[in-house]
Amino acid sequence: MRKKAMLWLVCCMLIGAAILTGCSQKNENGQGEGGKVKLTAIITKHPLTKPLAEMEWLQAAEERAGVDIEWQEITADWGQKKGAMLASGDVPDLFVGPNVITDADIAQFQGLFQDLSELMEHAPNVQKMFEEKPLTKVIATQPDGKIYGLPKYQRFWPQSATRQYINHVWLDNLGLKMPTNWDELYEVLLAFKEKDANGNGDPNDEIPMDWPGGIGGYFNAAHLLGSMGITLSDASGSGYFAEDGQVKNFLIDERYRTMVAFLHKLYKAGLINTEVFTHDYTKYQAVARGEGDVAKVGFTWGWVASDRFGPQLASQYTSMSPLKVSADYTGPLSWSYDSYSLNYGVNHVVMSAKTKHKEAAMRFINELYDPVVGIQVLFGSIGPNIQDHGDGSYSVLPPQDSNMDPGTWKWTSSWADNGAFYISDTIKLELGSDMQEVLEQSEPLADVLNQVDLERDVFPSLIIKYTTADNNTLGLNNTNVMNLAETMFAKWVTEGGVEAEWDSYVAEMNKAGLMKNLEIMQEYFDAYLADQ
Amino acid sequence: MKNTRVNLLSKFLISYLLVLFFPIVIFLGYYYSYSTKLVEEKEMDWNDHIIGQFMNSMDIFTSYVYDLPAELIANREIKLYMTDESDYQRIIVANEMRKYNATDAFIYNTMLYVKSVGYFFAKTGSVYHIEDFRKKGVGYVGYVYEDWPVEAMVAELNALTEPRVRPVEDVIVPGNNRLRMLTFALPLPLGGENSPGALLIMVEEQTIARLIRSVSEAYTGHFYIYDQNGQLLFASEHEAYRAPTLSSQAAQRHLANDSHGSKIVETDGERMILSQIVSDKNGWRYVSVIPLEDTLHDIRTLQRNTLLLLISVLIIELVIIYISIRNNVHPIKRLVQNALDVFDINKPDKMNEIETIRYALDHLSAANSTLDERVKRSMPVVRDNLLYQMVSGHYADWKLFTQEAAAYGIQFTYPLASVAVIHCRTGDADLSSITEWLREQEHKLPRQMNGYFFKSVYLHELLFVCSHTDDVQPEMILRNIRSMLAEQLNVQSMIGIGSPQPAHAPEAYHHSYLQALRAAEHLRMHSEPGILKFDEMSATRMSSFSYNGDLLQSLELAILKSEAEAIRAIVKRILESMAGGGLAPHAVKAIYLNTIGVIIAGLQRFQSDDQNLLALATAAIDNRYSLEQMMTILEDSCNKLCELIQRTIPEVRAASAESIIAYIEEKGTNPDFSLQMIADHFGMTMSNFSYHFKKTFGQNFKEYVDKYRMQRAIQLLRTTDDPLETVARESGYTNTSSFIRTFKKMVGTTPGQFREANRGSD
Repeated sequence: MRKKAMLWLVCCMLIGAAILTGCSQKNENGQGEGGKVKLTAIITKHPLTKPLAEMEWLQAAEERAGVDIEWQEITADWGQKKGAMLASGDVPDLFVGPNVITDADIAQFQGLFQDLSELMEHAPNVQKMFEEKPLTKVIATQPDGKIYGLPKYQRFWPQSATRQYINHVWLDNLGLKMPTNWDELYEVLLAFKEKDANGNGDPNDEIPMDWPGGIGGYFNAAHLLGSMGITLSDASGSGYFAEDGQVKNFLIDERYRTMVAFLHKLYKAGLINTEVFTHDYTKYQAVARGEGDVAKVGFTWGWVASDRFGPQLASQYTSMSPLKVSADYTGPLSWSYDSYSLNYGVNHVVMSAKTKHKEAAMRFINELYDPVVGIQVLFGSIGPNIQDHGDGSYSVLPPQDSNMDPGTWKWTSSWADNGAFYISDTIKLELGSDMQEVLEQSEPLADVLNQVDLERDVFPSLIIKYTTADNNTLGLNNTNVMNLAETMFAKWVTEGGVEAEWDSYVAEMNKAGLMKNLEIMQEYFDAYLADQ
Repeated sequence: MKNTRVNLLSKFLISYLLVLFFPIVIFLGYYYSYSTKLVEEKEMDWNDHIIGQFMNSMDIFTSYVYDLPAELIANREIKLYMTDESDYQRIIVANEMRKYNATDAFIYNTMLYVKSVGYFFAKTGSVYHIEDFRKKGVGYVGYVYEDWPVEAMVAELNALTEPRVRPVEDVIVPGNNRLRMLTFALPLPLGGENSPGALLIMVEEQTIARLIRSVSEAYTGHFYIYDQNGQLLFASEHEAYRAPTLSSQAAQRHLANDSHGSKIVETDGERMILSQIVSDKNGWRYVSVIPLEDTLHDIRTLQRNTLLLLISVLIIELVIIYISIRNNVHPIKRLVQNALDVFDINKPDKMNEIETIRYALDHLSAANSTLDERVKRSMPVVRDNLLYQMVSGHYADWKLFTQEAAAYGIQFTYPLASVAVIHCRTGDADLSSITEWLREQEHKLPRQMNGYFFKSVYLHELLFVCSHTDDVQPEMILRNIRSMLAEQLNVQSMIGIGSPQPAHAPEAYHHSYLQALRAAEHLRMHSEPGILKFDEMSATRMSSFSYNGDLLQSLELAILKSEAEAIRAIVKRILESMAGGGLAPHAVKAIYLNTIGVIIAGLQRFQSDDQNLLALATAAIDNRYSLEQMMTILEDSCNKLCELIQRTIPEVRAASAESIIAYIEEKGTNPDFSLQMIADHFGMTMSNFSYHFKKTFGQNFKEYVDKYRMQRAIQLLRTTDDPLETVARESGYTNTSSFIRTFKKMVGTTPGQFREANRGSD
């Protein structure tokens, strides 16, 4: 009898042990220490960014949300990794990063991502952002009304990414006036070319005018189109812009022909860098930074002077207002309106539909969208990176490492622009020197940009969400269009011939799909305008 | 005992374990010895496959690389001779270069070097001037090889006539980043020394490493690429470029060896799988080196875990089996204990339970068979006994008898019952063989007869009992049997037959038996062999012998008086009457028995040797004797008695006063002490002793004895509190009231008063 009992005891012990092992494993999976919910997440961060474990604000945010997140920090090849990960369905609870999961991904992997509108009650800060900045809700919402990814809003970025700079020291050296129209510009550049503008004794080492190459995009010569009233939208990389509710492409616009002819005139006169179409960005930047205190470039475009010309030469350059096409031009002037792409970003945080702790994950997201957390996501923790004045106002502190520029310091210290956050228009924050410089140098553009009709004259590519089919059509056509446009632009600028070849060019552009694209985009733009 | 149990337990355990263990050990033995080898072979095959795959991928890329110069020359848009003509021509070339991006995944950058203008047209669409490569510091714009100065590079590219490959090295790329690149320098296929330019193709080290991983995610070994001259182009571990590592040493050492495929090599005591393959496209040798330990780690862990698992399973099994066996052993133990209790096992070496039980079972069956034999042997005895009891008249109830008898196959179904006594003059041994023979004859009896032969309680005597019909004459059958006995066994026999009685009652058989007995007795007395029916001998029984009684009384008296002569005379007269004839045999026997009884009683008086006497008495009474023998016995014993009497008489006369007093003191308080007793003791008659006593002591024998007894009583009353009954018995009185009466007559008070008075005075 006793022995039977012993046998049972042994059996029970074995079974018990098995169950205990099972339970303890389950526990490890489910709850972290202190009852915190364990979550997993992926962030695509800048290679400079320090490990997330060292970010004080993040630890505090996780603490407040009652979560313990295991971060996977990705700095490269996200595109490749993402494809395999989504296809396998083995995804983390959260994704963070700029457009970390695209609308195309969401369309392709139906059901893999969580509709966050269902969980909005757990995220009052996100609700507040949607109220205060309705555009954030617009760009977050899919055509079917669901919200899979939340946008960021970073408020402080200027309306345009591109500023126009001229070396005022050279102007002074040569006794020239600040040009106000293309003809004056031509004269000034010609003087830069022919005379020893930088005063180093070599009259031939000055490059009067330079841009990164090709047509379209930030810092591009296409910004001269503003001189004829074209408002570029997010720098109009493929030429598309809006004018009075009409979607247009400047690549087949007469004003573009005028500009190309002007550029050829400059090129022919040797006023444009001969490598403008063949140099890479590093060389473009390196050339502008000159040699020591000797500047090499007279007129160009860039983000901010200190970055474009280096700290040593930055002071020689002045930000200019848009030029008029001619002295007698009376039409409106414009510039590139980039505020959407600079201040907003879509799909900066996405949740997996498979996460077991959706409410906890949403609590954490809500923490990120607290404006006080938001400034820390962007610039770094209160303490080392931001000073809290205690009266509701804050200042971004200069880099602790004096050798580091403020931009790099920001990217090192926090998620920076890659993060998901909301910086409300009401929070009082004094920016760092780099941002102040950007805003300062944006002043000359302010008058022009403030006149822009943001509804009818800006094509809101960020807001408009195409169907996958339309997206594919647009992409394919644009490749054809741009191949032709780039080739012809380079040819016309260097060799001339725009006048003779224009009509056949326009016909070929339309054939390449430009007309079709304009039709599609007009449809969406009309719908957008109807909603306003 | 404990030892043997443990033996059995461990025996069970070992056998169970063997059943469990043996197949597993065989499997594991097979699995262990082959699994390692199998894994090694698998791994080698796998490595072969991986480097084969890798080589194929690399060949695809390198062949693209080698074909690229020809392709570029074939491109009509690229007019190298025009590049110094105009900026636009350069832009065209730059744009054309963009189109060679099919292998972007593999090639980091392709640069078309044009001698005449010193430009490098990159496939990114950018164009670098030779001067860009010269700039240092922040101004790094082009691609700068630290170990390949621009001058040397240009000189080499200008003079290039055949493809060259630079091993992986640090290159500073635009943006001031350092990358590790494998560089191909390829001449344009035209012009030889006067070729318009050359092609520079850069492949990132990372890309090659990734390529290996894309072939196999799980690949963990070291990978090397050597060119046809044995120069190390690529190594998966950075250290190998500078100084040979363990793995690269192994790879290096086997370079000379031209064989493809995998083998296991040993370097500094570490075993590694070395796989190599040589591309037939460019003669590059791809070598993979995997430390065997890494590979075998998994299988080793698996093997170890399996072993641990097996051991723990065995231990648990052991415990469970041990417990269950212990439970099962209990009944066996009890069985063994029983066996040990029943059979005293005194073998020298200890036995375990099984052996003990086997031993016990052997003994049991042996005992059983002996018992069986004994029962078989006792069957006829029981049967005989049953029949004898019946003829002796011990069964009052016929039904009871028939029931019991049926068990032995005895049945009496016919109306008449007859019994015969067969007397054979032979020894004991012969008698049993005769019995056997007779029993066989039972089956040959006629059908109208149930007859059974069996031994009587007397020596030499067999009985035959039967029931039969009127038609059958037992006499005829017995006569037949008698003659067969004489013929076949040479045995003479006398047969007395009782007269047939109506059957179905024990008395009938008893009656017939008594008759047969008398007939047989008659025959024996007269020592005449033959057959005698009781009916036929009735003529001989008529005279009586009333006179015998007187002779016996006289004999007794003579013995009592110890008169030897008288005894002899009387015995002689008895013998004469016995021999005289005219007496029935039973009468003769009765006389004999009475006489011998008296004589033996006499002998008893004079002889203390009881043992001899008993033997004599048994011999004299039990045996059946012929008349002559009886007479001899009587004569002999009579003479002996007379001798004894004559020997004892003088002792009697010597009865002195002292011996008489001593005898009285010894026996006087016995209740059965009497004059007779003491007279016998001294060999006198009572009257003689009484006379002798009065003459010696001057008083009556009875008075003397009473006085002696009273003294004893007084002493007891005084010294003990025993009740009067005890005192009376101790003093020799059986009757308490006669004691009180005698006490009062002699002492004057009752014993109670006497005890009161004496207690008062104390």
